[in-house]
Amino acid sequence: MNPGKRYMALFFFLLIMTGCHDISSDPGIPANPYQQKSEGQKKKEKAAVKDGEYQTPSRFEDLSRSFLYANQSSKNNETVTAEYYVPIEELTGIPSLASREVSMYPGYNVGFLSPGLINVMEADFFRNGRTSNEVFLTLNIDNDLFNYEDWYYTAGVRLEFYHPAISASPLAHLLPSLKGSLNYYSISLFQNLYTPTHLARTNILYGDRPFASYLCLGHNKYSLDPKRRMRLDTWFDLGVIGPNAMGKSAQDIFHGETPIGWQYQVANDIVANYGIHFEKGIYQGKNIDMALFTGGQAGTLYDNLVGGFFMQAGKSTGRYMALFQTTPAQMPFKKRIRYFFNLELENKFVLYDATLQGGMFNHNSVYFITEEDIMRYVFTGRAGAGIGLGFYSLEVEQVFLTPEFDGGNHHFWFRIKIIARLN
Amino acid sequence: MHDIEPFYSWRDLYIASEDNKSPFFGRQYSEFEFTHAVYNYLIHPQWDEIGSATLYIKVLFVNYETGFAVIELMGEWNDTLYNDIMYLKREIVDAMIGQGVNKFILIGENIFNFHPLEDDYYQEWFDDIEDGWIVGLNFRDHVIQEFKHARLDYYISFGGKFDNFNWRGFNPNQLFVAIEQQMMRRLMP
Repeated sequence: MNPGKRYMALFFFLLIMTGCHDISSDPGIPANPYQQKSEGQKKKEKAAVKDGEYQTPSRFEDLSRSFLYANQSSKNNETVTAEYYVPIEELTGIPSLASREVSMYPGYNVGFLSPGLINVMEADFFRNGRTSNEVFLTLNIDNDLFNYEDWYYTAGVRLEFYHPAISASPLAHLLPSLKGSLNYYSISLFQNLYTPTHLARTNILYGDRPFASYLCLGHNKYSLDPKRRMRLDTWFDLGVIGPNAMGKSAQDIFHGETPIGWQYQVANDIVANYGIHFEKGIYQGKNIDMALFTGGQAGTLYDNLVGGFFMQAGKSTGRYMALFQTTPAQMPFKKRIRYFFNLELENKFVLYDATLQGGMFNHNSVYFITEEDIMRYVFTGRAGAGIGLGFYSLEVEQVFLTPEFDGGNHHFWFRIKIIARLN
Repeated sequence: MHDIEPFYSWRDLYIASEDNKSPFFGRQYSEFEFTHAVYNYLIHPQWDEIGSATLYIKVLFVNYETGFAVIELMGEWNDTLYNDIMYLKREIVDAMIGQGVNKFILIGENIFNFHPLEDDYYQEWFDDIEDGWIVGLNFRDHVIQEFKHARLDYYISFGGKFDNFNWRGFNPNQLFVAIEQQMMRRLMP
């Protein structure tokens, strides 16, 4: 990759990163724009509100909408007046356990009883979204051996842990969410392995895929909005590509004789990748969901844009209602069974792929695919099924991938995903 | 969220934790720390836990002679994920019905979301109270729409004056009379 294009890819990555602001400021202590203003400005704004002159600038925009909504919903058509005004910073901060701002004794919070104020708090609940308190552990196992193949994306393992406490991570602010959504946070550890078609060759297979592997730690957020049938997945991965990712050692576990070609694998480099995936439901039947999605990745591992179609059919909790098809213990046994089938058609426009082209900063790879030989359009088809029973769920998926480089072949692999709810 | 506490002005008339017929009899409340949360939002400790992760209640008043109860609700009513109606029915309503209560006034100002599943428990509740009724007061529009969409408004009466009712201006017995008059008009127009 020549330096000019490398800088373009880096610029694209930085552009995505700087353009991402946390829509929800969720969770924990929400962002407080009020603190960023000078004392004089605060006084001026408060005076303007008291005089009824405030014309819903950005800081109060959401709050004002909630007033309007509350008044419309109560069918009173009342004018929004300053008497309902409460500085947002008094409402959105989650207090510490030792906070004395609120009396725990009944009847002492007299000022918070007017219906108008309750509606302000509704805005807080909806605007900032909610963090799911469910704890999950999932394990993904990808392998092409299920398809009697052993090349290209040959194996992948991903362990992911979902916990509400992960929302407190400073990196969580890099991951936006949908407004008023239910959010799941997770950290993941994953390793992917890539090999050429012939593993036993001792020389470099020019024109074939290079050996490559990466090992990453990921920070993920899944944001669901059942009302608008939308879903936003965002993630940030940090790790390494190359020998330090221990791809050779991982393949040793499954192969009696280690492929010699790992000595020619893509050289060590840093992985820092950001991804976003937005999905919008376009049709919802009794047992069927259809959606369109778009997204992309930017960073030192992958740079691409994707778009496609998704369909899910079967008895499920709802694609935008819950992340997994597990069910709580309080339901009768028969009602705890979930099953579904899904189909995903994804079109990908590839800008950069480090597993083919080598690391973005380290150009010492012995062999890599040149930029001219990269296929810019790649199609991925996924057909899967899943079953959920109580706290456990199992999903399987057959994946089809068109050639990723000039002279490459179609590829198939199979995925097994085991999901366990822990609380 | 943590500022919203249950309506307290009827506490001189009724306190659930001091009513030996109440499922909350003897319950103690922290005056120093938050003990419950709805998702990542702490809520006032005066709300009573019923087993649900997202739905909390406060029994504001019960009149066993007349057979009515006023219950204020808080949080997200989520039957889809947590089967909240089961907790409400099994833990609270069944105990009250056993004490002769057959008229329920549910105050839903602080119910922010409703996600339905099935109507089994609602139907059972409706059948259990025979000549009684269940009224939903001041539920938010989008919540009522979800109830209607799931056809649960057959069991719980919404709409009309019930959606914008200044219940705090009444004492509980006056409130019951006012609600019952409305229900009589609806049942026998």
